Amino acid sequence: MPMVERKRNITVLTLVGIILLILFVGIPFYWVLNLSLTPEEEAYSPKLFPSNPTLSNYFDLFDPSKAAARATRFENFAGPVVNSSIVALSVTALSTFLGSLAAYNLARFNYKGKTYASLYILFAYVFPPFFLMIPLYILMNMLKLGDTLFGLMLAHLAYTLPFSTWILRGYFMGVPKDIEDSALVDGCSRFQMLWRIVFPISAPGLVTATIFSFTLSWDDLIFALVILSKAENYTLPLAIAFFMQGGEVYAWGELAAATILAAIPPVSLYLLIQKYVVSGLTGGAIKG
Amino acid sequence: MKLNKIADWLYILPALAVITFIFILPLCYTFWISFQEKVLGGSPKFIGLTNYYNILASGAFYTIIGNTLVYSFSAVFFKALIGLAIALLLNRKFPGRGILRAYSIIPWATPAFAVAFFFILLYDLKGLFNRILGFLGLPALRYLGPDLAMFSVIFVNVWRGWPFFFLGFLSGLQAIPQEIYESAEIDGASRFKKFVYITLPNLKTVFFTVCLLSLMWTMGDFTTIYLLTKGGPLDKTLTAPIASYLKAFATGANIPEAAALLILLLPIYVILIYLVMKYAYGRA
Amino acid sequence: MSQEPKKVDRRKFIYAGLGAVALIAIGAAAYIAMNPPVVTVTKPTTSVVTTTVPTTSVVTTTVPTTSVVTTTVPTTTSPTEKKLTVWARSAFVAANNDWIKKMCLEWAQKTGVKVDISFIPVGDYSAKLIAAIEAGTPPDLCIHGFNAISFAEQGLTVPLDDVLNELGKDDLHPFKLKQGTVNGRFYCLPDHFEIEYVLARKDLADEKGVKLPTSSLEELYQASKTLTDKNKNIWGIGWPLGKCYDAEGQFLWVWYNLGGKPFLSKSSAGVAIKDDKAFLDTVAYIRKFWDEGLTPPDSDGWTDASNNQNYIDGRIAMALNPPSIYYSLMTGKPDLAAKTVIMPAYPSTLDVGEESCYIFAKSKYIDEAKDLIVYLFKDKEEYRKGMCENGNYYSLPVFKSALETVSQQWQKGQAGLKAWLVNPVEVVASIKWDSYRVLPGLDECVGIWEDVEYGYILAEYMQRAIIGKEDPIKVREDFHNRVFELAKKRYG
Repeated sequence: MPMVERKRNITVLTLVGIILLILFVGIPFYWVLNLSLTPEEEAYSPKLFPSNPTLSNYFDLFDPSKAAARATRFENFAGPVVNSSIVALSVTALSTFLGSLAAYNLARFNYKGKTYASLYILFAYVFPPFFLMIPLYILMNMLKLGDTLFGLMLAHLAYTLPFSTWILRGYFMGVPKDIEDSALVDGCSRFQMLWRIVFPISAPGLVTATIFSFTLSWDDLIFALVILSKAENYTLPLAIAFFMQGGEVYAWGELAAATILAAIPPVSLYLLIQKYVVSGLTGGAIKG
Repeated sequence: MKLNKIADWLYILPALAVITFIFILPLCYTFWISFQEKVLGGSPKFIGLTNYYNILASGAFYTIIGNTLVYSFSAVFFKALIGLAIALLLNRKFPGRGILRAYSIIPWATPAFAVAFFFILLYDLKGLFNRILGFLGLPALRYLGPDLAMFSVIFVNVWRGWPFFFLGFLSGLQAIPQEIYESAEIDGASRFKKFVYITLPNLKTVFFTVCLLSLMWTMGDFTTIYLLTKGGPLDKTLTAPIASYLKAFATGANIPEAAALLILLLPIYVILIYLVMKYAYGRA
Repeated sequence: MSQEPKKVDRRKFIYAGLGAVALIAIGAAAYIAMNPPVVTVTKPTTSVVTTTVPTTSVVTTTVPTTSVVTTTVPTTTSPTEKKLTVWARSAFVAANNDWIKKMCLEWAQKTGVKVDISFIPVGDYSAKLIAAIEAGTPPDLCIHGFNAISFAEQGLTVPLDDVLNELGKDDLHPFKLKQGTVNGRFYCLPDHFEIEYVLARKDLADEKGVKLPTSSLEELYQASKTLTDKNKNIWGIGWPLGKCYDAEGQFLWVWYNLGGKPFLSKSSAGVAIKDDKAFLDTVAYIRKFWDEGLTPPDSDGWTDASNNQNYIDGRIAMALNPPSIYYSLMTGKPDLAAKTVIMPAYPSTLDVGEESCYIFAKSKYIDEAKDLIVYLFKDKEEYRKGMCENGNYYSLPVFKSALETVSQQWQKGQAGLKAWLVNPVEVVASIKWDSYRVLPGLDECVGIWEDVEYGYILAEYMQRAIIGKEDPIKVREDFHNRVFELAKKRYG
């Protein structure tokens, strides 16, 4: 009899729970979507449903002439998007590359001091990045990289690199050693083996690490705030923040549209890798 | 043979070098400048412990610590609660479960700055929440005013962060073999007993790992609070990251003093870092 | 067995060296980046900027958008090429920004000196500028910039007496002359008058029988009370109480009008806040608005844009602000503009237009920078039209000759000045103080007062007293001590 009870999987409680979940997650998105579809004149006093739904907010973001009326709006939304993309992609490339080398090292090699190296990297993984805002700001200025995207990229590297390393270490450790050993016996060099065998098997892990690096960089506000000065260099979080905070009038329709657009890349990337999220972040401590 | 050993190190050397130059050395530099004082456009002067004294003498320091702890622990608590609830909910098999699982990840995948803007729009006097209150005939609330600011920012952090706990707990739940439950049922255990004596203990590892990591991240959360309240009306939501930023780059524009503030805050984080490292390294 | 390891070793060594190469690549890139190749708005070949003087519509320029990465262009400026880095504070009225940009590019074309100009938003300007100075990379020249007196006091900027003479010292309005003088020398050229007005809904005032203009603080309070209509969701006045310059400005307006004097002399001993009764009166006055609900309940979180936005949305009947709102109204909501009147903020209004042009001493191109400043203002008519009239006289010109023109325009009801109840030039003549530099009772500018405001220090204490409901006497004392510390560091 207990078995039968088990099979009835959707109870009333479950249904209530599901509805609450849908509402909890969905309501904020609904509201912002609503605002983004409301014509700008009405956007500061929005209604519950967009009465004259329009996509104009989305298009206006890319229109420099619309920026004229708002002193702090970016000329063209594409600008910050490009800046963010450049930074995020380079950070991702570098940290995945260096991280995978380091992670493989930590996962497989055995040498004196390996524990220290591991702990060193773990420390950097766990340490909150905001501690670095002052010294990195000073460092970037010293290197004449202040207010450059390159400087920002280095700053991001400071915490995405340990991140990637730790995630990939977990993955590499999950690759069965036997395959590697037999490959070695067959005459592969270490690097060849990395390339031909380990990488393909841990492809999901690599993809995960890549996507995490990308979104970490995409999301970053604090280092962009500290390192960048001129509006042309602003990345997305910064551009939208100033758009919102400054100026003479608000532009909530456009703000809502900008926010939604800014959220699309990370969300879609995460949905791709949803299976691997948890195991990645915990370094394999918890299997996803 | 020697070459072997050196080559081993070469794999990890770049990563270590980057981390040293962009992470460790800057930290040491922070320590170094906290003992100095700098006038605009002038050269730094060594002033010993004055910065530290100034910070400790001001009441704000304790407010900062208090706010940071309240914010972090409350947020993690609620995130864990909601995460567990949803994990239990979605642990059973039913049609549409996969979609709901993907749906649940979305808040966490959304960038923190986007979530902050969402809630700025929601918390506004004419935003959705007040509209609903209006329907019910209740007066509008000032969510970002001095009384409610802390709750409001915690809510935003929780709204965004619970899926992390959800995913962790879900995988933890799915790792528990069915047989244990079945044999417990045969022994006549109630649902409650099953939960308390089987489910919870098996989630212990997950729980600690996820909680510690999340606590660490929440204590370092800058974006959410900065965009919503910038430290809050009357310092009500002034946490460590915000305070450091404001002191260094905004109101004070006093970088050495901000450096001292960071060093003073370090102990709280270090304890946590130690715990996390011990736990994470031990398990991984 | 002994064969294999050797092969493996060498290959491994070579391939693993890739990692080291990556590190070297980073270093090399950093080294290359040491020649900051910032190439933004420079050669004006493509940018024939045709800014048409608009009447009501928004100016569109054809300057190529500069919003793309500037770091990938590996060109370096040759040693003989001169380049001026200009940081302009983004004005509230886009027309102003466009004019500044246009003039700079024109000058660049005429003289062959490159101009790299950036517009930085208000809330950020001060902090970024200070950060740049700290980093050793300040711009050459600031236009419409903040903290000018403060920098001058710290010896960071160069005197501009020669620029002043070239532009005609006698033509500069005496108040503006005062606003740019430190220790007897002229250090910065304020580039506009920005007068605090009260914008009011004439239709609502007529409906409720409120007489405009209000001529005293008490009348303003009464008018706000009468105009507050909770049923229609209209509040009498928008009183910003958030951490913004509007909030600070409004506080100071009340404080000075009530006889407040923050300083008795420009020294730490001269800080007179803790004995200043007017401070307490000010707190009491503003609290009335907050406690009695005469201002929207979210005004404690307002930014500089909120006042305007609320007025445009019809939520507040009056707003104390420079008429930048009016410009937005004219372009966006002309019917609301028709119902709006602009009246001076009696008893005595403030100038909040201290934004100035100044040159950093560390600049390598001081003469060129001076030349640019002269070029911007030399043609007074061009300046008046481009900077002031274009923005519907949100800004007023600083030169007496130009002000005369404005006066005549008002008398003829031209240039959108119909909504001004009083001749703006007369109002200018009555200005005694500004919020940042020219303080009651003092003959010279006080630089640290700029720091107190730009750093939102005043806002902090104001919020504590008015919203936090702390004991105003304690707050006053704390504020006094804070200013005292700053004065001690600067003046001894």
